[in-house]
Amino acid sequence: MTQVLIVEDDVDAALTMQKGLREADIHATLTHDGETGLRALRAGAFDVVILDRMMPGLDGIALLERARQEGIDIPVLFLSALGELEDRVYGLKAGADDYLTKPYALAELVARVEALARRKDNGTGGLEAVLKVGALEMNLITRIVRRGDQEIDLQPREFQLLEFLMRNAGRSVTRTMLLEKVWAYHFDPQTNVIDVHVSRLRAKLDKGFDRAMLHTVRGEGYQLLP
Amino acid sequence: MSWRSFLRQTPFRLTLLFIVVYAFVAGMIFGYFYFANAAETRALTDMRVRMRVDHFRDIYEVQGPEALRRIIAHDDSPDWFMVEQVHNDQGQVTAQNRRATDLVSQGGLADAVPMSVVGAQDSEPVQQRIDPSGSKPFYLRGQVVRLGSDVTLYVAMDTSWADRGWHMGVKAIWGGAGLLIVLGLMAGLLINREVSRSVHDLMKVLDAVKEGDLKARVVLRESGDEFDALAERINDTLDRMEGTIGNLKYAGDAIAHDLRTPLSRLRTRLEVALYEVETDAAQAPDVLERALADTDQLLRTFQTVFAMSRLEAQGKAPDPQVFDAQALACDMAELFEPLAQDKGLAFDTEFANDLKVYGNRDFLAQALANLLDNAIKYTENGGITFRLRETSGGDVEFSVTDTGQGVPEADRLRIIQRFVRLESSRSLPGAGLGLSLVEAVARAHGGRLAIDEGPGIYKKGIYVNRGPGLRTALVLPPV
Repeated sequence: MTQVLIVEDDVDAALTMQKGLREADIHATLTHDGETGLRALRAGAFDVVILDRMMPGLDGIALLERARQEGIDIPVLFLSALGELEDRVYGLKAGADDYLTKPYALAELVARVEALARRKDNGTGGLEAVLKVGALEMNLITRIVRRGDQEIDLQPREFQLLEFLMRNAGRSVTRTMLLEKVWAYHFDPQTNVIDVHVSRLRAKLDKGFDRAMLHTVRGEGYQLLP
Repeated sequence: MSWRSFLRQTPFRLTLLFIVVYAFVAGMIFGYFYFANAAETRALTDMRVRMRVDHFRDIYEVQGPEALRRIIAHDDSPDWFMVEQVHNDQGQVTAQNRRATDLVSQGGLADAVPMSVVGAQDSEPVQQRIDPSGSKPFYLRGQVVRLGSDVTLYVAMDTSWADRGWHMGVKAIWGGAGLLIVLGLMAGLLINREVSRSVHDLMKVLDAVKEGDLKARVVLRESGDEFDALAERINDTLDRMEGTIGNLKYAGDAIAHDLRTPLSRLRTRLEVALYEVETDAAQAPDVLERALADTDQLLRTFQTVFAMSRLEAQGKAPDPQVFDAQALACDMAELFEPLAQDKGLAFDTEFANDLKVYGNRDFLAQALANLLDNAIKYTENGGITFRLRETSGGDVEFSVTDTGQGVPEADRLRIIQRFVRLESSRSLPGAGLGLSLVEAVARAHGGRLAIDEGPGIYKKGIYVNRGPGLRTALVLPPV
């Protein structure tokens, strides 16, 4: 079971997060201030830390910098108040791995925590040459994608999109995550522009097969299942 | 104003300091003149005395003591500064000139020289104070010379002429010093009053601002002095402050106003939903999901409004970087082309090379996404042309041209305003913030949003010059 440490001074928000994560089979330990958070981080074996930016005493950025100095390289998801774009920059510079602004959808939080936890499992974030999800196989070197015997011809961006989905197979990924990780832009797409790309990929991936692999998760995003 | 606080004021203290320094320098100069002048007077006196002594010695040696005594006794020359006496060895006067006679009769001059100098050869210059009755005391400076037995010559000169000049000088100096101090103090008072008035005016305005009156300004005196310059600077700063605070207030009001619309829409929907759930409880998940979607939309709106307000308040984009404009345009084209194609629209691009922009990549991407999204959303037939070019003015222009229904010229300014949606677009999704955000992003980057007539309707691969269409452009200044 994935172990998450939540460092968040807003107790209600932390409890809601804990509940949401439990739905996804993730166990969360709560701490409500920076010092306690840092101690827990030093002592415990966690897979991911959810760290709030604004806290009395030791704040999120200071905690993160201290932890990174001490050589704690656990993946960190940084949370901050609405629209503080500078915070994202500071957070990422201080060593955060991902970033989410409040208010966020729980589904988004869970999806991102899962993605971070998986990256920790892999260690390096994927040096493997071949990705496999069920009958779907992606060779990262030859850039050939097959589902069973059938080779699937993909555009470069579709390839990246599928790679991200395969690396997060079995978990929901949100539209914002896709725009961030595949296109490397951080903004709210507002429209269905991502959906169009996913449905094109789905058309190539699932065409001619009885069973669909790429699923839409209502209200959340997408999921690639074996 | 009490006397003590008056003493503490800078201009007055500077005046005092000035007076002290001036008096010191004047004293130094005066002292120098005194010593130089006194030495000169002594040398001159000694020389004239010596000449006189030499003259009498000649007479004594050539014509004898009697002739000397006779000549001296008959000396009533107008050169009455000279005192001449001949003494015998007992120190008694045996002859003297008229001036000496006068002084002796006035009781100022002894009729005998001090015994200590009698008999001395070529005595050093001797000086004696004469205190005649009825006039001011003065000094005689002269020599005692023994010419022979029973003949001692005393020749001295009255130095009062020099002293008198000196005394007048001293008087003038004291008078001048008095005048200097009085005038200096008066000048100090005047300067002080002037300066404190200026400072007082400034302080009054700053106090008023502190109390919350942001409209308070210093009245300029148009004198062009430092105080005017300072006052002008303070006024400028206050103008800027007032503007900034006004903007913040406006932004706050705008957010409150902007969010009222979507909030009341959400409320209405929830109310209707409640009614629906009452009639059919099985609808509950659907209704909740719709409410959730509405809330998401509201949060999204809030986020956009907030981002715009921050851009406007800061006046610049956060975390700006220099990057390749073409790469950004390509990314956005790649992102939106499928959307256009799915709708059956043509999607053409024309991107110039080697153009750089300076700004926040995400905000600019979002702005372009909004322009492209709008173009695709409001175009039913024809296509979109997405261009990147350098304008003749050197600006970097991203333009999106569509062949949609266009926007009447009268409405083009209106559609930039927040939450404004034209009648013809009410049926389509959106909050009416897209172009407002583009405008805010453009301004934060020192650029602008241009909205023009489109090319017309797209037909069989060419634009037919018919129908309106719309051309929106994000214009950024060169790096």
